[in-house]
Amino acid sequence: MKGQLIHWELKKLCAVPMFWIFIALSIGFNSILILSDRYGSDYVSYVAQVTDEIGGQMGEVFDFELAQLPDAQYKDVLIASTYGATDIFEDYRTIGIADYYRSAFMITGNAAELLERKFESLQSSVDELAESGASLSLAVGGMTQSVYESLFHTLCRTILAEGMILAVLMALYSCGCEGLFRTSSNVYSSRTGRSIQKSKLTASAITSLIAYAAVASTSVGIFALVWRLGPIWDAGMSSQFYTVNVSGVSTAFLSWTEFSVAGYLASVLLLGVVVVLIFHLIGFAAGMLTGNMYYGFLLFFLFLAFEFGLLMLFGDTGSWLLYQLSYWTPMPLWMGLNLWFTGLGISTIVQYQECWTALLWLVILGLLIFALYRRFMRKDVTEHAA
Amino acid sequence: MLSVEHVTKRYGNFTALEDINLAFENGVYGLLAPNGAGKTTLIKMLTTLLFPTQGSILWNGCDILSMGGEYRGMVGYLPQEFGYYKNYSPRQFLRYVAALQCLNRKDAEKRIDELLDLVALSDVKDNKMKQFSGGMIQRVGIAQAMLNDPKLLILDEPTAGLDPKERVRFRNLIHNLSENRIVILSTHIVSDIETIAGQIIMIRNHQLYCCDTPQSICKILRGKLFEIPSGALTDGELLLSERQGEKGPVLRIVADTPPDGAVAVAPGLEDAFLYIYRDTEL
Amino acid sequence: MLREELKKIWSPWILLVIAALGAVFYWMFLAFSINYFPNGPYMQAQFDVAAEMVEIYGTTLEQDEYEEFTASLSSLVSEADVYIQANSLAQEYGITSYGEYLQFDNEADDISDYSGDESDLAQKRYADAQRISSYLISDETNNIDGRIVAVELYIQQYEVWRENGIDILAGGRLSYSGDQEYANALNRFFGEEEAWRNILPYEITQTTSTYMGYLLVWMVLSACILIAPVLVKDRMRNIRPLQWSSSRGRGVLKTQFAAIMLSVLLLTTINLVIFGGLFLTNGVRTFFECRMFSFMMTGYSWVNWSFGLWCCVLAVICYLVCFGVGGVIFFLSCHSGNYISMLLKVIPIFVVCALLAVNMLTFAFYYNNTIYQQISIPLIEMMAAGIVLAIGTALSAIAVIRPKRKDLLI
Repeated sequence: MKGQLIHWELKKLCAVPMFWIFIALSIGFNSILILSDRYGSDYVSYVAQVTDEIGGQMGEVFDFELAQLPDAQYKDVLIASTYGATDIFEDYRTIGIADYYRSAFMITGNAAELLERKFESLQSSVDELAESGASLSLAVGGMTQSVYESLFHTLCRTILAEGMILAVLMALYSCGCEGLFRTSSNVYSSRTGRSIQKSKLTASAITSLIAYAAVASTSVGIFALVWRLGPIWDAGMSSQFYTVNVSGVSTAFLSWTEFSVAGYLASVLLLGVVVVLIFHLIGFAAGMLTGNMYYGFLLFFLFLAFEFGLLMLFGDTGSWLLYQLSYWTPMPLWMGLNLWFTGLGISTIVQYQECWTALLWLVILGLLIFALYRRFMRKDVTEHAA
Repeated sequence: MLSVEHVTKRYGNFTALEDINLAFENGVYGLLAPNGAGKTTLIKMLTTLLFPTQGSILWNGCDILSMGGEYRGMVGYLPQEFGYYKNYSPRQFLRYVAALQCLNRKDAEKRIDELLDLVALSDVKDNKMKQFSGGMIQRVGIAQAMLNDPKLLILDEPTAGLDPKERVRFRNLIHNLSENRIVILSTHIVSDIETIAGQIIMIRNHQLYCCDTPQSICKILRGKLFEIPSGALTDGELLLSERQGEKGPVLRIVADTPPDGAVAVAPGLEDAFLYIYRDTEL
Repeated sequence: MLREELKKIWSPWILLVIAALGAVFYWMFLAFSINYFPNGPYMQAQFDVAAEMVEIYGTTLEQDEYEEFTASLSSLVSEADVYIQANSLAQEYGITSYGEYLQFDNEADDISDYSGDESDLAQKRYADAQRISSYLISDETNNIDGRIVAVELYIQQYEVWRENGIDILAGGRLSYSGDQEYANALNRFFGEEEAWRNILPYEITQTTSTYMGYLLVWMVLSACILIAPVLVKDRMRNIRPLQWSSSRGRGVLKTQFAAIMLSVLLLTTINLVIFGGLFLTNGVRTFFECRMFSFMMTGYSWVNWSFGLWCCVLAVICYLVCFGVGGVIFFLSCHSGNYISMLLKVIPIFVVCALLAVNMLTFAFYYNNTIYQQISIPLIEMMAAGIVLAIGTALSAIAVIRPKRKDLLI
């Protein structure tokens, strides 16, 4: 029976024409982002070809074999950027990064201790990266920075933002549609009664995930078709050609575990599912709290603004411990997407903090929704356009 | 079977209903009161949409709030402003309500067909409801209220906006449905319940005024209701209503003694209603 | 009636939300351009020196004035000498003049060639050089190093223009069609040789236009929040039949449109006054009379307005875009049955406007404007604003005129 109700609630959500139009617009927008930034695609194809022929791990063998390859337009460029490459993770000391942050941002006390502890624990991961020669991954050669940024900084972040927006709006619609159609009296006086909210929650969550999956799969598919990375999908994320700027410091991609491009993309998209669910729950909670779709959206917006405000306040005033604590909120999850599963600069204090943050907020929001649901079960139903 | 015991509903400083005590058995009950008297508030409490501030509502001795879905599964409710999904056909809408009432799909399909026949909507069962007239929408409303074969059928202002033919059709339908169930019909249109309600519940000043047969209620005006040609009223005469007679306007008044030229008339429920809810004292 | 419609739009709760969001937006995107403008002591010095130049020489630096300006360098160096001689660290290293300090600073930079004890010594010299440098850009020395560097930079830039003249502009950086357009601009504005003598630091136009770009994003966002729900609410609460059956009839849409446009005008003005006013506290008003095309590497502009007029034109563009967006929102609001449907339409519109706003206004009317770089049409910024306004107007007209003959189906 619950399945049937979820099915009906799903039908209501999928019957909103703008839902599909928005998905189409999102895919269109992402396509424009991908297609407008194809500079260097010939070079990327050449690197993919080279990787296919002689492998993607730089070193003396690679230098030799590359030199043996037939002349091509980008061969000399590739040789110039790869010849004599050394493992940058050998003798790499992560504590130096912590020292720099401490002095540059004048971080002291508990915040400094937590930072140091985190970077100390990152050392073992970097040692593993050194052992596997992760930095010697050819990746996309000189275009690595550009391609990786295009994929992770731009595309993935945009996909997640679109998923988040849709999740919030579908949650709000689900909460408010009975008021919209003036069916509240009917629905809540039926046998199912107010417990229909559970079906609504489930249905809007499913819809959010469908939307996210549709946008993500299509957009990534277009990206793959445009760039044709081929064997580069197995290249390492921690290649020395890729650096990330974290709190003003440009460092290598220091992940807690070694990722291939495909593996990292999959991990990001998977964690993205959880983030979309979190935002869905925020939207649903806002809808239940306000009983009005628009005010619910504004409440959600204010919540985001409040998070940003806290980050800025603590950062500007140098309250670094509070700054680190405020990073345990949903919005910074999205902001730090391109640095997920890495050390993440001064903002984080534990390994895989983004995963723990996501889990924490699932729990918090789950409890909040439960409390709101119980409140709703005892609340008078008044008929009004939501 | 259904009892309302010392139920009070307050919104802050405003008391919508105070100390209501009622008991319902099978049959048709008319809930008659002017607008704003508290009819819909009472009905919403019976359908668990509102929660009493004080008192309780019991079904066979059990509190309806603690019974939850079990109680609501026995209730059929047609709200005052019946909402629907414009793009649904009646069949689709009833299927949805069947799901809400946790009805078995096969049984629900059969029941839906029967009900659409009953309310004479079989011909348009797959047409979108946005094309329907007000009367047709109300008939869908009745059908959805009957879907779970309720033991308690509550209809809130069901004939508002219906034409005379639809209203007669509706009265006949209610009459047929009233066997073996409690039917509560809330309205301020007296003629809708005069002939079909066994008991009339009246609410005045947010309190229960009476719960009695129409005949008993009309007794208060026996021997006091007269019709006179239009003219000035004297002290001791209360104007209830006016109508157009063959020879001109005719006033229907209440007086202890018949004025000159007055013709005694038998009081109806509407007269009693107007008298009970009068603005001026006699 | 107009007043009633305005009352519906200017809801206190929504205004509170806008105020709260505005504060956060300002903090995130706008405050930097005020608190850190000019950005750093060297840019501050460039700003201060340029402001002094305007005060002393007016909006242009003629040849004779230039010679006077050049002569000021030696007095600045002498002033620096005095500060250096007063510094204990400089005394430790035996540095007695600005020239010696520069040499010391250059040598101290190169620490990589040393090892062991020599490396420690080199690191100490480097650190001390940084300390002296900090001293010379501090308030204590009135940022003397910054001022000297600024004067030297302006002299260098002036010399480049004086030697190469207008030919510098055609250094193969423009496409064929760009050359043609710029040749026209040269004849109209820069034909006279002295046009490049204008005084206007690069950072001013960059910061002002970037600030205005982000401010326009905020204006569009606040307008969307304020006006988007109004007509949707009417439709949802079944007010339309009452409105359309009244004596005003369907003409009520015109009143609602007027109320929306008036609200956009008011809100845009409030935003401009508040945030524009905040920006003006950073001292850019000094340069209002200066021309946009300057030897201080401001970039190649298509128009030779004064900086003040350019700011006004940017403000006009803001109004045009906001009105256009207001019209679009009016149309979408009329055709949305509920808030979610409306938001799903408005959000993409906002995203497009936000991208357009920043790219349109940053370096507006300059060669290095992003939109111009893509489309190569001079003054495309104004055209883009006009297009937005035209679209908004057209859609509003459709929303107002079409219902005249349309059934109201509830």
